[in-house]
Amino acid sequence: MSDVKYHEVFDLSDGELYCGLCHVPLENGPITLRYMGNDFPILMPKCPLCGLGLIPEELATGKIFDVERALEDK
Amino acid sequence: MSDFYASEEWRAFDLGHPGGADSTKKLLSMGNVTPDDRVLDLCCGAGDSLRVCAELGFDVCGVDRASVIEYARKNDPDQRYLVWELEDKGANLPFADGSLDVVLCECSLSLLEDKSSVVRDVRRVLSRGGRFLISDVYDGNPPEFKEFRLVWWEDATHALRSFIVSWIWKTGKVFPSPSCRGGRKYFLGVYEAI
Repeated sequence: MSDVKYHEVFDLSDGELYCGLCHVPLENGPITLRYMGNDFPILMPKCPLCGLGLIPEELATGKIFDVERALEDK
Repeated sequence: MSDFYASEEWRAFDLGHPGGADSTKKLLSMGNVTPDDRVLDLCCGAGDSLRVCAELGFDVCGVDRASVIEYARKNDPDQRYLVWELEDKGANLPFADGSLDVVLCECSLSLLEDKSSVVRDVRRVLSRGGRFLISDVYDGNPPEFKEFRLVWWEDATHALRSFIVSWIWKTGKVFPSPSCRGGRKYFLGVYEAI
């Protein structure tokens, strides 16, 4: 059994989101963000067919933005 | 010292300092520390580096403020700690002149308000040829001290950046800018007592 600790988990309801390419419902799946050799697993909506993942706007403009800004603040 | 580093929020963060145990081992290695050396971890925090030193067989003791030592003793009661408060009259480390061979100070010197006094007192407690092992933020040129000569250093900015990324992901909060502590880069340095 996997013991992965996800840093963010998206609250996804059945049928809430669909893949624009495959036209099937997205399912929560693991996505790994990698910065400088460190992995940060998150559980986000993914297409079960093509594997394309969705990064919610809140996460993109929140933690991800903060990380990018911190890394650019050399 | 900033209250941020005495906060529960900081204590709950389990990465210790940039580079973690690998950084500590690199400093100890480049400082040629041996089991015969008496080692002080200045501003030892939760005792992470004390454990590294103890595992390597070094005779080590840690000092920090009373509130930090109280936490460290609960966190790891197997290590040796002494309370040390930086006072107006000077650093006054609780050790006799020349009684130590190595002082390790990781990610802390830049936080201390009276660095000159602390560096002078580190020199006082070190024996002849004693080493002052530092990791800290810097502006591109490692700091110079009249009491010590720099014998080795390397840039470790990647460790600071990795540390900050981990902080943001684990806490969801922005890390205080390192630039307010004297630089945006990070270095490891070995200084030898003059």
